[in-house]
Amino acid sequence: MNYEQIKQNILAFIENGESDSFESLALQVFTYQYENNPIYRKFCRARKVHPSMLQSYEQIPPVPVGAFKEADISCTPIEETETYFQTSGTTSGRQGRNIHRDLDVWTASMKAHFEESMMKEKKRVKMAILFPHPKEMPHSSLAHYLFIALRDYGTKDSEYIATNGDYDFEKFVAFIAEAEQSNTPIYLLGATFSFIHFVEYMENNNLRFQLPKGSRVLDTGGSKGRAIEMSSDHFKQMVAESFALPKSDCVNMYGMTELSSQFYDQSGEGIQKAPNWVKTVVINPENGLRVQKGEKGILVHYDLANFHSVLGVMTEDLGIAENAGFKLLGRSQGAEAKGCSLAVEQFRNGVSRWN
Amino acid sequence: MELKIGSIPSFISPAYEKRTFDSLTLLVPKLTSEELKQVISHLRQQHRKLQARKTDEIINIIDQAIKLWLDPNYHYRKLAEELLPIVTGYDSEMIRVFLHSYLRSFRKEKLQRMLEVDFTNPQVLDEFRPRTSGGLTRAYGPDLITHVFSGNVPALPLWSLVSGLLVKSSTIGKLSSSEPLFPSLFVETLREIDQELAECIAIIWWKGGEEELEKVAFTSSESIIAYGSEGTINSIRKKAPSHVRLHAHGHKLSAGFIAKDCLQRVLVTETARKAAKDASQFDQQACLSPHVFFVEEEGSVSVREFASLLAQEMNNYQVKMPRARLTEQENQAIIQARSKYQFQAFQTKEITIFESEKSTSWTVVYDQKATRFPISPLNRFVYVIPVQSIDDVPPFLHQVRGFIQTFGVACTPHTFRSILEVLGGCGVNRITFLGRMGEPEPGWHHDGRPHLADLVRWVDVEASVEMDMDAYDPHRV
Repeated sequence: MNYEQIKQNILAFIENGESDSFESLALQVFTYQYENNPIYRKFCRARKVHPSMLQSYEQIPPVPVGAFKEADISCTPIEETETYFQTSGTTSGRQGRNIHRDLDVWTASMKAHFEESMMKEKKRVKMAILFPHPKEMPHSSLAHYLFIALRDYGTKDSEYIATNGDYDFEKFVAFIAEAEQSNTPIYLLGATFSFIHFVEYMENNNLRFQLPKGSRVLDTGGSKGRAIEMSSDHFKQMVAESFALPKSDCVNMYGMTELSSQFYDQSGEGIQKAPNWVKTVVINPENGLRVQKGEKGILVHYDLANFHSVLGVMTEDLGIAENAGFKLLGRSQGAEAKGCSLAVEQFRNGVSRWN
Repeated sequence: MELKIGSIPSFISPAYEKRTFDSLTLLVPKLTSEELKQVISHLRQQHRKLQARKTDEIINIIDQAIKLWLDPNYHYRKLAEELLPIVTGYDSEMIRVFLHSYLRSFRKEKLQRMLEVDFTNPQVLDEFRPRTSGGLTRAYGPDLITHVFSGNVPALPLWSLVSGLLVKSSTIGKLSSSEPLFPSLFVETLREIDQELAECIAIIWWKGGEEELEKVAFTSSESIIAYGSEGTINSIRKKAPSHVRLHAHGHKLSAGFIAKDCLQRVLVTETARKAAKDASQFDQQACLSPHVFFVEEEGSVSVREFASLLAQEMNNYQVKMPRARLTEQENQAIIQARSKYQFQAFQTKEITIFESEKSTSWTVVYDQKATRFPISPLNRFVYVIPVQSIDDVPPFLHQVRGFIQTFGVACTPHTFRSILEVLGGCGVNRITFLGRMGEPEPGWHHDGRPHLADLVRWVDVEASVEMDMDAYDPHRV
């Protein structure tokens, strides 16, 4: 099957996907990737896997996220592509990238799941974005994600709070105060750590807010590795109190540069819901086999929208499979070894998921 | 099964905390700071009695204990062989073989050698002895040592426990959470032989970093011997008062060097077998486990072929003595490291990766491009780097200077001296033949320091005392 056909099939699936055709489309996408992604083909061959042998998407070899730092894992040479998204690579200094021949499927995926999770009223909302504009970070998938949220779902008076790498909290306070006065619901979207800093700022300045009904907060990225670390429960509690919102309106989004779809946790219980073009499998890293139902393990995401690179990505995240998603138990930070070695220090430093 | 461990004076009945290892629950004594103070005052009283004993007596008691432990039917040995695999996850055969050879390093002759290495006349530990330059001198061990034991290799705490006893110090042994069993059992053996000696030792547990107990223990001790990560050591260093001496054994890196003459056709398999043993024993958790083998090129097999032979031997070792089950994090570290090299290998011929199939049991990475000392995620993951000669090795070691410990070398009589000179100059402090990295010999300078001599303080009595006191002798003529 050629590029256009695969792309149309995926777009159709995203638009009106029936879950029972996931399997067959996944195998088609895998075959396409095996044929067009030379380095992934080598990876599959080293595992003695050929598309003709597979009956189930779960047999498709997932690529560990770290591999994106070592090679361009792409079905299209970089010269022929529209863009790529880059990971931050804070520890090793090496950045990984996920190459997109075009962003049609990526955008369709983002929009379909964002609409379902965040835009039930189907009305534009006034938004504030606590993250740089794509002009400042052209290869950040998160910057791009937030840009589309604002462009396609935000009202005209929506705003970016961050400029030139700095947050203008005074502007942000004025933005919120205005919404309170006019009783206009607002969406505040951004990186987890920027909310943590803002709440700190509120405390230092004795500020309290009561967001109008219908307002929501969306955070992403977590606080691991930042100056202030807190659990996602604790974070949600803090944000809900600071903005006087019900916890169900404080949404956490889970995503990564190496994928092309996002997950949303609206439950307040840490359950990340996948769109129906993504399936998450929990494996035992010792042997790569699926764990028993309800057991924890390493998360492997099979994302049909990620068809420019690889369908299956093995994360460094620990979790438990749940209906249509997973419960995130945290990032597996590498060897918490009992051993006598520097490796412990070396591998403890994680790489933040988004940049 | 539930077992109470630790060792505390009978007049205290502390709370016990449960440490669970699969089907086994170990109850470790967790004292209040008040109880710990009582224990310390008891240890101080006992110390006076210990101080009055001769070092030879102490050696004999330890020797008797080791004799018991070397008998496979001795009840505590049997118990250790049964329970240590559950506690540590290590293969039972590996533990059995190790215990047997390891315990032999503590026989009477070996203990005597430990003393002889450090003291020209070991009697200085018992009384004031004349110095050749005039006057007298005596070596005193600390009255109380707090040992912060590690749990990465079972029975390892015996080194520091025995060192403390040889210099007649009372002991607070803080058990490791990951292997609290062995020190407890060994002290029970001492108790069977000599109650009085056992009374000088308290084996207890607290969670590393616990403020109050650590403060009491560290400020009451004359010395601290601690094993652990940089974080652990730094936290102890901050808490220990400046007059308390800290003997820190932080995390270290080890490696191997294989000369081309050891790749001769008839011997190469044996060389690979030895290297596999070093890289597999205790799942590479020891300071003295190799992360990488530097292998000389232009032998009768290529270095890449050697890496493949090493892989086969790693596999054989795995069949005989399987690796422990790992946590998700440990497995994850191996998977990420493997994929890093695998994806590089897809793009260059200079890297080849050999790995166990459908498991993370062992991995060998041949890396011709390496310019940095590669740090393994451990658990039987080892690198092979080809070099032209030993002279290519120092640049790798300079990057990890201060952290490098053991080198396992395979060499011939013709080359060995030049190899030693190079490694010695790079900060390596222990060189063994390949295949013996995991078993240091008695009397070794752990991390380059004297074992016992570092613990003692000397009291010099100058010749003037002998000379001038005569002037005041009432019986003078």
